[in-house]
Amino acid sequence: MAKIMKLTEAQEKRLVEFREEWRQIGLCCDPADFAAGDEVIRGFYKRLGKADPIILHFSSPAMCELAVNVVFGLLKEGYSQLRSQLDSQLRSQLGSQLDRQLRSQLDSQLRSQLGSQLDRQLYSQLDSQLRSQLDSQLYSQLRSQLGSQLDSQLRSQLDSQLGSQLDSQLYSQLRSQLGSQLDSQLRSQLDSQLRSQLDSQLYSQLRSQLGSQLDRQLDSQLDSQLYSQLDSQLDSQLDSQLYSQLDSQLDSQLYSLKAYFLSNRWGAGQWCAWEAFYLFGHEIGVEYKAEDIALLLEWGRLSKSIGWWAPWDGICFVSDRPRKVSFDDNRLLHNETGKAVEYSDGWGVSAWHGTRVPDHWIADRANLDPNEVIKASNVEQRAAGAAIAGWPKMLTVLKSKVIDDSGSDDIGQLIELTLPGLPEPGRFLKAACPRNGIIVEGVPRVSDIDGLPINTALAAQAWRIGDPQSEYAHPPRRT
Amino acid sequence: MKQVIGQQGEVRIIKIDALPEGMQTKPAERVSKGFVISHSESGHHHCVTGGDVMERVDNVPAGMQRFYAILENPEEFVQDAANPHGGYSLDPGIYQFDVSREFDPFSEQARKVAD
Repeated sequence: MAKIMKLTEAQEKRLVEFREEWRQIGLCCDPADFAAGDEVIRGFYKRLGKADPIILHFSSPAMCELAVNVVFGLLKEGYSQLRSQLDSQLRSQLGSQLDRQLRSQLDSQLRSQLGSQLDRQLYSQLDSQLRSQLDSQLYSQLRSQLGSQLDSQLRSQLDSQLGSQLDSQLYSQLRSQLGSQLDSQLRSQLDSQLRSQLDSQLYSQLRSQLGSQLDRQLDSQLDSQLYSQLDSQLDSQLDSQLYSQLDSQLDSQLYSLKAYFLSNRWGAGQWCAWEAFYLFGHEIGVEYKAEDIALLLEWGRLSKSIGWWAPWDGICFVSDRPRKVSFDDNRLLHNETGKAVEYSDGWGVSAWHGTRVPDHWIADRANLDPNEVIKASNVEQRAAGAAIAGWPKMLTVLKSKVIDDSGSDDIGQLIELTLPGLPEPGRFLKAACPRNGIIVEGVPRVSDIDGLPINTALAAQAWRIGDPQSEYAHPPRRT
Repeated sequence: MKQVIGQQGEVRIIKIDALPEGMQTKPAERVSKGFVISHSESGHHHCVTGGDVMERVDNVPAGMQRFYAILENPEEFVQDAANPHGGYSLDPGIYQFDVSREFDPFSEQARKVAD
C-alpha cells in the first residue's frame, strides 16, 4: 500500500480545525457526562476480565483524593473494627465540617446499598462517632489548603454514592483486595493492555502508511501542540498543586493523606493529544485494525466525557471537569484576578503566565508582601510573585542600582534590580505617572526597534512606546 | 508630519497627516463611551469617544497595540474611571494611539534556572 506522503490543501486546513476541536475537548469546562464515562470505564474493566466496579463521582481531583483516602481508610480497617478505629483515625483526618458532609454522603449511600444489618450498624457508628468525635486540626489544614468549599462537599458526595453502590458482599471483597492493594495493579494492567499496547500498535500502523515527513508534521502540528497546552500546562499544574497540598498535610502526629488518586489517575481530556494524533491519521486515510480503532474511539469518548479518573479492582473514582480554565496570549495558564483553573467546589490552581503561585498571591494581590515573594523557594515563583506584587512594591526589598538618571521624574531613571536566585539583574524604567505615582516597568537590554542597547531612561521610554531612540520625543503633556 | 499630543497613562496620542499605506486593521472594540484603545489594569477603558477607529494588526512592535482614528468631528480621549487620567480634546484629523509595553526581565531567566 502506497504511503500518504503529504496533506492536501483541504487536509492542511482540516488539521488546524481538528486540532482546535481537540483543544476544546481538552479544555472543556462543561459538567462531566458521568453516564458516558461510566459506560466506557465499565467497558475497560470488562476488556480486562474484571468485575464491574463501583464508580464514584466527585467534583474535583482534590475531592477524589480525599475520598479515596477516606474510603480506603474505612475499608482497610475492616468493618468489625470500624467503631474503634473511627475514633482515632477519622477524627485525625477530618475536621468538623468535613465530618458533617462526609456523614451525610455516607449515610444515604451506605444505607441504601449495604445489607440492612450492616447499614444499621455502620450508620449508627458513623452517626455517633463522626458527628461527635472528629478533630479540627486536619480540617483547618485542609481548609486552608484546599479551599473552604471542599470540606462541605466531600461528605455529601461520598455519602450519596457509597451507599448506593456498596453491598455487603462487595464490601468484603473490596476490603480484602484493597487491604493489600492500595497501589493499583489495575492501573498498570489497564495501561499495558489497553493503552501502551494500543499506542504502539497504532503507531506502527500509522508509520507504515505515512511518509516520514508527514509523520513529523502531524507530530509537531497536532500532538506536540495539544500536548504542550493540555498536558504540560494544564494537567501538570493541577498535578503539582494537589501533590504539594498533600505534602503539606504530612504531620507525624496525624494520619497522613496519601496520593492514592494522584498516583493512579488518568488525565482523560487533558491527555487527549495522543488520541487526536491517531484519529487524524484515521481521518486522512490511515487504516488501523478494527479492534484498535474501536478501542481508540472508546478512549476518545472518555476524553470527551469526564475529568481525571483512577481505577482499582472493584472501585473507580472519577472527577468532574473544571468550570473555568484561563490562559494568556501565549497559551500559558494565567489569571490576574482569580484562579486560572477552578472546579465547582472551589479547588483549583492560581497561575501567572504559566507559573503556579499560591492562591492568595492573586486573590489578595494588593496585600502581597514582597518579603514573602523573595522568600519563595521556587525561583520561577519569585519572578512571578514580583510581577504580581508590582515592581514599585518590590523596590522596597530588592537590591537596586541606578544606571541612568534623566534628571526628570517624568522621564525617570533606568535602574537595575537583582532578584535572589537569578544570575543577572533586570533593567527597569522608574518614572512618575501623574495619576498612578511611581511606575517601575521592565525593559530588555537591547531594543528590538533599532537594535541599540537600552542604557538610558530615555532609551527605555522609546522602547516602551515602540520608537527608535533617535526619533523619540517625550510627550509634552502626561496625564 | 507627526505631532505628539500627549500621553494618558500608557497610551500616547500622536496627530498624523495620513494613515500608513497598506496596513492591515480590524475594527476597535465599541463600548458605551466610545472605542476602546486600552483596558487599564483596574478594568477601566481608555476610549476615544467617536470617529472611525481601527486597530493595526500588522507591523506593530511585539507587546504593543497601535490604533488609528479618523475624526471628522471633535472628539475626546478619556478614561472611564471614577478617578480617571486627565482627558484630551481632539480636533478633527487623523490620530495614532500607541499603547506602551513592558518586559519581564526575570521570567525567562527563572525558567532557565528552574530547568
